[in-house]
Amino acid sequence: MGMYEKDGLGMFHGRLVLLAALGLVGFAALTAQLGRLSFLDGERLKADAERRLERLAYEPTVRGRILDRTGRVLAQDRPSFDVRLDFAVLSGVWVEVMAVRFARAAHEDAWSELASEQRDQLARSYEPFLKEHLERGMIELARVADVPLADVLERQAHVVARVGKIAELYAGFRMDQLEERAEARGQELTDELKARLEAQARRPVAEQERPHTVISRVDDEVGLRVMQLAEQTLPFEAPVLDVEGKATGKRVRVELPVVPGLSVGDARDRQYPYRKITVDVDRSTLPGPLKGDGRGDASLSVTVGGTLDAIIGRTRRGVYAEDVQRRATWLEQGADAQQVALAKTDRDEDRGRYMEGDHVGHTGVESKMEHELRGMRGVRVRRLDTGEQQTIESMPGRDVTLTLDAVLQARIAAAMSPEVGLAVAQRWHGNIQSRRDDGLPLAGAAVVIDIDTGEVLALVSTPTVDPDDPVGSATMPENVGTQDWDDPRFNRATSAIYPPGSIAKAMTLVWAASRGEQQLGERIACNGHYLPGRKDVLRCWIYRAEHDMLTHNIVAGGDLDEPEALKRSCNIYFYTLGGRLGYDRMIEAYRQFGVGAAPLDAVPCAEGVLGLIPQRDEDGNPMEVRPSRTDAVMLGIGQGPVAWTPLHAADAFATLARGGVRLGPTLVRRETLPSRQDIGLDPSSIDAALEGLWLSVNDRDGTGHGTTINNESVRYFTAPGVSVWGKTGTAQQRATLTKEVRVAPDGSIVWDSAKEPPGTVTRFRPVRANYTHAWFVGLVGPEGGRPKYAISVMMEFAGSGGRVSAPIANQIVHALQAEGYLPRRSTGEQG
Amino acid sequence: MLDRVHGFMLAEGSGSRARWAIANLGWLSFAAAMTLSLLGVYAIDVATKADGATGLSPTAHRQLVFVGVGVFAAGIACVPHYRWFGLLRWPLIISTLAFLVFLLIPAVPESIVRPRNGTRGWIDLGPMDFQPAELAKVVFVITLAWHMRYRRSHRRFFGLVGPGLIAFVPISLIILQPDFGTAMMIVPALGAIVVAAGAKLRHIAVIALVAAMAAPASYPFLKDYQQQRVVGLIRQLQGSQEGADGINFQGGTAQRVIGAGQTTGNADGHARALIRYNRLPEAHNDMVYSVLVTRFGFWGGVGILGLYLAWLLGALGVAATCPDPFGRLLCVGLAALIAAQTIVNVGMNVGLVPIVGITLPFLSYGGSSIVAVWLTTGLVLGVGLRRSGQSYRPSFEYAEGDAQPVLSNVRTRPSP
Repeated sequence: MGMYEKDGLGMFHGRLVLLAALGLVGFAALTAQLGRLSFLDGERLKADAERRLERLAYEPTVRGRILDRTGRVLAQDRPSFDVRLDFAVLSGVWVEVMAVRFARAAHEDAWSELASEQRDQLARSYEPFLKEHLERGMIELARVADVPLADVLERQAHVVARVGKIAELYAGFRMDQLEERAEARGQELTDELKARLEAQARRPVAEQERPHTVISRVDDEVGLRVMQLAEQTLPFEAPVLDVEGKATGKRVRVELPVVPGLSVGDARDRQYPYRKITVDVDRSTLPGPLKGDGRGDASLSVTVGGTLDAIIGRTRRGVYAEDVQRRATWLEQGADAQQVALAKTDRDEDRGRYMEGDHVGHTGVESKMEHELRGMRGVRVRRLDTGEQQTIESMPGRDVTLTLDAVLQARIAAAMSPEVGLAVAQRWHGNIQSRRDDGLPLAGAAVVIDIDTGEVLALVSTPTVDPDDPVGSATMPENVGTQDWDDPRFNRATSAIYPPGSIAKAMTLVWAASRGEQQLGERIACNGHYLPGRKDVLRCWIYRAEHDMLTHNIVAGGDLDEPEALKRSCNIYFYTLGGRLGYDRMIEAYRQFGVGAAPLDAVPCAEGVLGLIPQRDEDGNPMEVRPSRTDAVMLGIGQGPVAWTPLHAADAFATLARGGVRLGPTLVRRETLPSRQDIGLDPSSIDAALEGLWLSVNDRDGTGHGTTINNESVRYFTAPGVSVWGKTGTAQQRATLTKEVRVAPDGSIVWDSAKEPPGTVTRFRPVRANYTHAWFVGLVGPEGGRPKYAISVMMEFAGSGGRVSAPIANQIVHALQAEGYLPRRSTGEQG
Repeated sequence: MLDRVHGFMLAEGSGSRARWAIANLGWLSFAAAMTLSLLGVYAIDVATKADGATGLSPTAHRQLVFVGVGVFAAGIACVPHYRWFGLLRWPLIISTLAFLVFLLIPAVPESIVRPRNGTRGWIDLGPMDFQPAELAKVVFVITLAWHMRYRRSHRRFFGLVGPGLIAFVPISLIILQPDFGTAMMIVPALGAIVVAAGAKLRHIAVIALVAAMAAPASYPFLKDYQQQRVVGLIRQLQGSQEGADGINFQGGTAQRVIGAGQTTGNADGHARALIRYNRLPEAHNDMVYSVLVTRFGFWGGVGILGLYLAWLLGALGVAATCPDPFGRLLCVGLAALIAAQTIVNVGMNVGLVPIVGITLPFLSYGGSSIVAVWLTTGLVLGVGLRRSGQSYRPSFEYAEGDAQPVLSNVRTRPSP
């Protein structure tokens, strides 16, 4: 020591201090990071670490039902089971593995010294016995499940072949990858390396390690029996051979499962009991020749399918990334506190989370109401260290009750089915040039709304997809507003838009009267044309320029008042009101009656089209819309820049019947009341409009009263005990339809057979022309009372609104009676 | 040979035999090593005991035996004069190189050299696996300390090439196993010895700077998994959870259970459950520090670091009070080995360093590792026990800018 006291601390000691300081810096960094983990992140890390002491298991739940307004179950989960076998059993690997196990057990001492050929030989001696055991098991399984053994074996062969292909595919794919990686590492692809990689590439794929379904969708009774079978064992015996392959006289005796590798899986199914409904149509209520000759059956039995499908939609098995995203967004933003509290466990896990194999709402209400319908899984939490269990019971999803009446819906769909004849183009449907050819089935839609509640009772679109067609019914066009006339999946009631035509006249009237452009009682003359100097444009529908005689002033004997104008559906009258209101206020009128907004949120709905679409100039900037007076005038009769859906039409008439209060509409019963909005209509204008609508149906001069078929006078509405208000509409739309026409040699179409040049032939041709959609929109209530239901019927390119759609509306009134929504007086009293 | 030993001893000028100095700082290292080793046995028991088992787990029991062997080895190492190890360096070097080369011979069957995680680093000796790299580190320190004890050439920049070459041999052989991590543990020992021996700091700074700049350039030459670990660590330090189930699983799990220790840790049973069900990989081995922090919390973790500091303080203290240049450098080198291994391993555990297979001295399970670190402790204690007497020359005292010793009246080589 003495030496150092003299020298003091030299360089070496300085260096020691330096090194020690370096080490201390390192230790300080470690301590800082340790502190960060313990204090800053400690809570989070601790919680995370503690969570791993628990094992979570989710238990299945049940999706909510979809009910109609009367409580009929339209959609429900049905318990169903898949019978499954381990792949090792299906592929025969089980036999090999068990054989080796027996051989090894019998020669435990000598096993490690045996050559591999000897081992194989010993193992093989057990295989026939195991195979036989397995065969007996399969026979037993087929017996218990009550299916032909051949089906099970066929399924087995199919699974083995399919999985074999998958495994092969994967092996090839992995081999490519492994070789690529080996080359990237600079390894030479020797045969030895290749063999090693090959072994790596051929490791089992997931399909080879899980059970596969051999009998699918068995009911719970069979499912239970198979579950019991899966527990049963059977004594298994086989002789033990010695190392030389000679019998030793000893025998292997073990208990083996009767059917090895058997399990039962949940294959819950979504069931739609009302996919097809059979209803009777009373032929005596049909017009003219459709009644039949009276000798046939008085009623026609019609089975309709698929009318609910378009609304209810479908579930699919299998989860998309969008579903997960949608649920997360809903939990964050859409759901109320109660729903979130139900869904989240105290570990912040979502009990409604999607898992593989879940049923997910795919289309329609099933999709839109997904968050209500979705059930909450049960959660079982097991503490791994203490074995404690904590269970949250599963909770079925909420039932969704629709405002629809499934049978009413079916009756309406039946009336609109081609079998009945109302929805087939007929001779008497009006000018052939403006509609589909005779004999063709007609597409259309019908809507019934309860005026007091705004609930939609029926929402029918025809044609529909055959419910037995799995492809068509599993999809739904979501692009509402763009019309594919031939797509049966297209919901014409909610998603197709049509010009309103004359049915809008009721709206024009009340709006003009409520906005001071029409003094109630003021009469307007109809001289056949709106512009004094022009007889060729803006004419009344009855006017013929040739003889200048047919005007409403002449047929009515003077200028028209409001009810008269509606009853006769005079164009000139409503052109005049449209002209007085002007473009902007006409647009506002339609908007107030609901055009421009989707009426329902539970199914995809078109918003309708309202107003002129702004054009763009050369630079792409939207140009100012300059509506002409003609636009306003045309809007007065429901033509021009406006189009809506049959649902909009029924909703608008319901608003009218409520005295100008908008309510709903609704398709799903909810706890919250539907929105109410008063659009400010003059009550006396509504009285005038209702009088006009009543006259239209009940006065012999009304457009909705009746027609003449085969020289026989026919009244459209035949139901006793009810009052019907209504308005026909024959709305023009330019379109191209394939028609059977007479074509002159020069290629022109000849409509008048009297003027056919020689050589004229019949051809199918796409013909572009103004065709007419047939509308009838009305109100109905008990006789002498207020209107209770608003009805709209629209038949696509069908011709005259009165002749085509009014008889269908009549059938809807009958259907409402049949289902008890309207009183029904005995037919005897009608006389 | 014996003459030479006695020759040096006589050169100390204190009589025929060196005196023993029972009271010395080496005992501090010894006590720290003992405390750490026993803590290690406990931690290994926490990490490996099966549910419901009583007594020490078999692994912990084996570790206890290893500790016994290690303490015995330390005893053996401290009794003869430490200079014997310097004199016997050639047999040590040759046998160590032989082991290292033996590991690399592809023809050696796997029953003798069984690769672990692709590394051929262990020789199967029946009850205990022997890891020659552990021995190599100690032998390297002995060799370099002996080599540098009277030199002054390392005061010149190119004079550093010699020590570098000595380090290069074991480093390259260990890298070939491949065990990059263990090989790199030699570098701090090299640096520490060279710095302690008085190399110019600006030379060292230049080398460190070049190495620091070369490190990123070496990234493309790293193996896939090594690159992933580096990227994984950076992500993790940035707070990303990305690799939590993949490349960062081991580190992420370690930090989770460390955090779960919070301030004062968890009760024994609960700590065991946390370690077990968080599935901490290598819990009894590389990640044993995490186990102890889970059990004893932040203050426990700091306490363990304190024990290492105590060990290092002991070793550096022995170096500081040792008059003999070989003894000085030996202690510094051994301390650097222990310090580097500790910092890297704990750094791995707390997420400051990528996961490399470096064991934690005294705590990690493993016979070779325990024996090696106890041997280290024994050598330090041995130097401490022999440090009495006076130096016949002050070592490693240079004037800056000069490669000549300050005192010019000393012999540069001892006479035989």
